[in-house]
Amino acid sequence: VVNAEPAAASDYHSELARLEADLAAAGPAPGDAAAATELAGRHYARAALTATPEAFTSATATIGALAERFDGWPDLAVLEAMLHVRLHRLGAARGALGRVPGVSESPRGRALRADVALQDGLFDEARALLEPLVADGCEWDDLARLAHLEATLGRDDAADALYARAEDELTAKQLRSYAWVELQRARLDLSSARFDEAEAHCGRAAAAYSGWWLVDEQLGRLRVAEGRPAEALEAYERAHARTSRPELEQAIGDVCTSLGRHDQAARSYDSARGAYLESAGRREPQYLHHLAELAATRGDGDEAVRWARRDRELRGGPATIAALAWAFCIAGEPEQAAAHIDEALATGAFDAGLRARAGAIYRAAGREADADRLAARPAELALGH
Amino acid sequence: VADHNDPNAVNSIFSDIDVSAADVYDLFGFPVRDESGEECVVVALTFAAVPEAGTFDVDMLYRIKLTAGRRLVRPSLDDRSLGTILAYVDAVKDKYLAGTGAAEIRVRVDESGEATVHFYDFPAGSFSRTLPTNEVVSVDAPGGHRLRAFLGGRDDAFFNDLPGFFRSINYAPQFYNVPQSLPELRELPIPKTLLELEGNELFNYDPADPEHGYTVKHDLPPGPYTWQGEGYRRDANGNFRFVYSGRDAQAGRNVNALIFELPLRFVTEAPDDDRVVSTWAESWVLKAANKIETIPDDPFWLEHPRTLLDTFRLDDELKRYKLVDTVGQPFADAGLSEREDKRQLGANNFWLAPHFVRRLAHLGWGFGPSISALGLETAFDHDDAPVSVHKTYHSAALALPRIRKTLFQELKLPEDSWNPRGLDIPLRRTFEVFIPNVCAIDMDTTGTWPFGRRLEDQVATRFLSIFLDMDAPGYHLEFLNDQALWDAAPVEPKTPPNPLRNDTEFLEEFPYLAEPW
Repeated sequence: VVNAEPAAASDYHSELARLEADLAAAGPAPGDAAAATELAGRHYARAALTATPEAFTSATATIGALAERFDGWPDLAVLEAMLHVRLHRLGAARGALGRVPGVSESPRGRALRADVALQDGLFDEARALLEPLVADGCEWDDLARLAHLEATLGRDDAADALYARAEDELTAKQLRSYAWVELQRARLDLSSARFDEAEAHCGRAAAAYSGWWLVDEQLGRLRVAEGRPAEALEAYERAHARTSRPELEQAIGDVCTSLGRHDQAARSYDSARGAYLESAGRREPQYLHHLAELAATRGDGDEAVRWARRDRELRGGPATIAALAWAFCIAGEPEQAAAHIDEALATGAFDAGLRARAGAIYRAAGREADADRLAARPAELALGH
Repeated sequence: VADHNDPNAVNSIFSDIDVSAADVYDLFGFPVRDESGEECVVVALTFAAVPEAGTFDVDMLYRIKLTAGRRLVRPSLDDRSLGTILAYVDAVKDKYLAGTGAAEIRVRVDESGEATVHFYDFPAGSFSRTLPTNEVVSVDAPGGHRLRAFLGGRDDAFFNDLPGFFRSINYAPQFYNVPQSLPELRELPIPKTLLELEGNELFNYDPADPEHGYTVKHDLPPGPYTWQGEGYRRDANGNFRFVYSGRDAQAGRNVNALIFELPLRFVTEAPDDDRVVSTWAESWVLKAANKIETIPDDPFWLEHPRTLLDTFRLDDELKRYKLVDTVGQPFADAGLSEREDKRQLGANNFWLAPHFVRRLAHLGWGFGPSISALGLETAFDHDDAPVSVHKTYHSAALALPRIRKTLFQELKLPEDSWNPRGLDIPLRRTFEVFIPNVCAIDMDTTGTWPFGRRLEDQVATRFLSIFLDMDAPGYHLEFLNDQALWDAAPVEPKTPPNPLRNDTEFLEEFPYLAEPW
C-alpha cells in the first residue's frame, strides 16, 4: 500500500524551494532573451509544479510581459503557448505559436498544436501532428501526448503501451516526469478497476518523486474508487496541505459528502467555488468547467448549465461538451443532455469518464439500449468528475 | 473527463536537467611500454567534469570497447569509386558490429567514490574489480596480467580553438543564445570557410567585441541567416581574416577521465599478429525506471532505435541504461555527424557512409575555396570557385566526384618518426579513419593520429588538413601547424589554427594526463 506521506525534505519541496530561491534571486529585468527565457521558464515551472491559480496568474503576467519585451523570441512564444494550453486558452495558444515565424512548424510548436487540437476534439489533426514527431524523435513527451490521445479514444491498452515507451525514454535525471507518466498509467488502470495495478503505479510515482501532491491526488481517486472514503479524505488533505488548489477542495467536498460530513463538505465546496469565481472574474477560462461540475454536484442545474455554456463558447472538445450535457441532465433536461452527449461521443472520444457519464445520461433520457451498449464499469462510475 | 493530461503539466522543456556527465569529449589511444618493458596500450576516455573534477555522476555508466586484429587489407589506391567505399564498409562492419567479440571495460562509480569496473570478454575471461577513484591503481587480472587504471579528475587534454572551428562552420550556439525551440538555427546556412566572409556580420570577428564566441554570447538576431556576399573579408592591407585565433579555448578546464594501461597480451591472444587495437567508448545514463529499484525492467527497450544494433546482446545491467553519447574519432561527431543524437552510433556508424560522403562534400565546398584563396592546394574539386559555397547534397553519388581525392588520398605525415621500426605500414586514408568511428591504434607506430591518438596530437588542425592536397610537394598532416606558413600567408592573425600544445605539460608516466586545475 502506498504511503505518500511527505518526507522531511521531499523532492517536491526541494524543487519548489530551489525554484523560489531562483526566482527571488533573479532580477526583475533580464538583460537578454536567454535570461528572459530562463526567468519565464522558472515561473512556468513553479506554476506547473504547484498548479495554484496564484502561480498561474503570476506566470501569465510575467511571461506575457517578457514575450512582449523580447518580441519575436521563439522560446518565449513557446512558453506562452504552453501556459495557454494548460489554462485552456486555445485561441491564445494558437496566436502565440503563430506570432513568431517558424515556431508553429517546429517540433515543439507541432506538439503544442496537437495539444490544442486534442483539447478541441480534433483527434485526427492531433494524430497527424504527433505521429511524425514520434517517428522522428521519439521524445518521451510526444509519446505521452499520443498515449493521451489513445486514452481519450478509449484505446487504453494502446495508451498504456505508449506510456511505457515514454517511460523508457526517461532517465534518472527526469524522475518527476517519470512519476507523472506513472500517474497517467495509474489513471488508466483505475478506469478499468485494476486497483492493484493503479496502486503499484502510484507507488512508483511516489518513489520516483516524493512529496508530490499529484500522487496523493491520484491516491485519493483510487481510494474513492475502492470505496475507502476515509482514506481518500486523508490523501486529498495531504495533497491540499502542500498546494492550495481549489480542485482539491472540491474533491475533499465530494468525499466528505460520501462520509456524511455535510458541513465540512459545504465549507470545502464554498472555498473551491470562491477560487473558481475569482478566476472567472478575471475572465480566465480554466475553471469554468469546474464551476459547472461543482454546481452540478450540488444539484444546481441552472448554474451548471450557465457555466458549462460559457466554457462551450470557448472550447469545442468532448470534455467541454460532456460537461454541458451533464449540466443539462442535472437541470432536469435529459433530452438536451443526451443530444449533447451524442455530440461529445461523435468526436470519437470514448474514454472511461465519458462513457460513464454518457451511460448515466442515456438512462436519464430513457435511452436504456444506448446506456447498455456503453456498459460502463463500476470503477468508471465511481470516478465521478 | 480529464483534459489536464498533456505533458505541459510537468513542463517538459526548459527545465529538464541536462545529462552533462554523459557528454564524452575525447578518446585517446597509443602504445607504450610499461615499467617492465611489456607492450601495452593506453586508452583514455574523457568527459565532462560533472558534478566536478574527481567526482562522478552516480547515474552514469561508461563503456570502453576494444578489439584487436590485423591491419585491414584495403582497396587499391587506384580504385576510388563509391562502390569501393561501400565494399570496404561491408568488409569491416562485421568486425565492429556489436556482438562479434569486442572486449569491454565498463565503469560505474557510486556515491562513496568507489568504482565498479567490469572487464568483459577479454582473452583471459571476464572479471570485476572495485577500485578507488583519483589514484593510480594496479589491477591483477586473470592470466597473470597486471593492468593500471586511473579513474578521476584531470586537466582537459584537448587543446583547441573550438570557437574558431564553430566560426568556420557558422555554428550559432557558440556565439548566440539560440532558441531551444528552433534547433535548425544551430548550424546556419552560410558557407563554411577558413577565411571570414565579407559582410558575414553574424560570425565575423569584431575587435570591439573580442570575447564574442569565447566568453560572450548575444541573442540571435532575427534572420535571414543566409549570406549574399561575393568575397572574403579583407583588411586595409589586403589580408584575409582567419576564422581561427590559435587560442586554447580549453585552457584551465578539467575533465573526468577513465584511463587504462593494458598489456597487449591481455587484449589479444595473438599480440604478434593483432597489431591494431581499435577502441571506442559510450556513455549511458540510468533509466528513470531503474533508479527506483522496485521496478522491473521494461521490455520496450527493444523498440529503442539507437540501441537497435545492440538489441540481442544487451545484458541485464545495460538494459537499465540508455545510450547517450559515443566517441571514437575526433570530429567524427562534431564535424561529420552534425552532432545529431540519432547519429550516436559509435563504431556502428556504417549506415552513415553515404551521409559521411555528402557531409564531407558539403564541408569541402566551404573549406576548399578558402584553402585555394590562401594560395594552398586543396584536394577538393571546387571548380575554381572564388569564394566558399554553401552547398548540400541529397545523393552521395553526386557528391563523390567532388570529394573523391579527399576521401581516397593517403594522409601523409611530415617524417617517419610515427613508424619507428620502419615497417611496411600503409598510410591511412580519410574514409578508413572515420568509418568505423573507432580509434584504431597501430601498435607498430607511435600511435600519433590517425594511427591512434596521442595526447600531444593537434588533431583539430590535422582534421582540417584532410582537405589539403597531400600530393602537393611538402604537404602533410602537420602542414597547417607550421608558423612559417602563416607568417607568409595573406591572412590575419598569423597563427596556426589551433594551439600547438596543451596549456599544461602532460605527464611522462601513467596516467599521462595532467593533474586537474
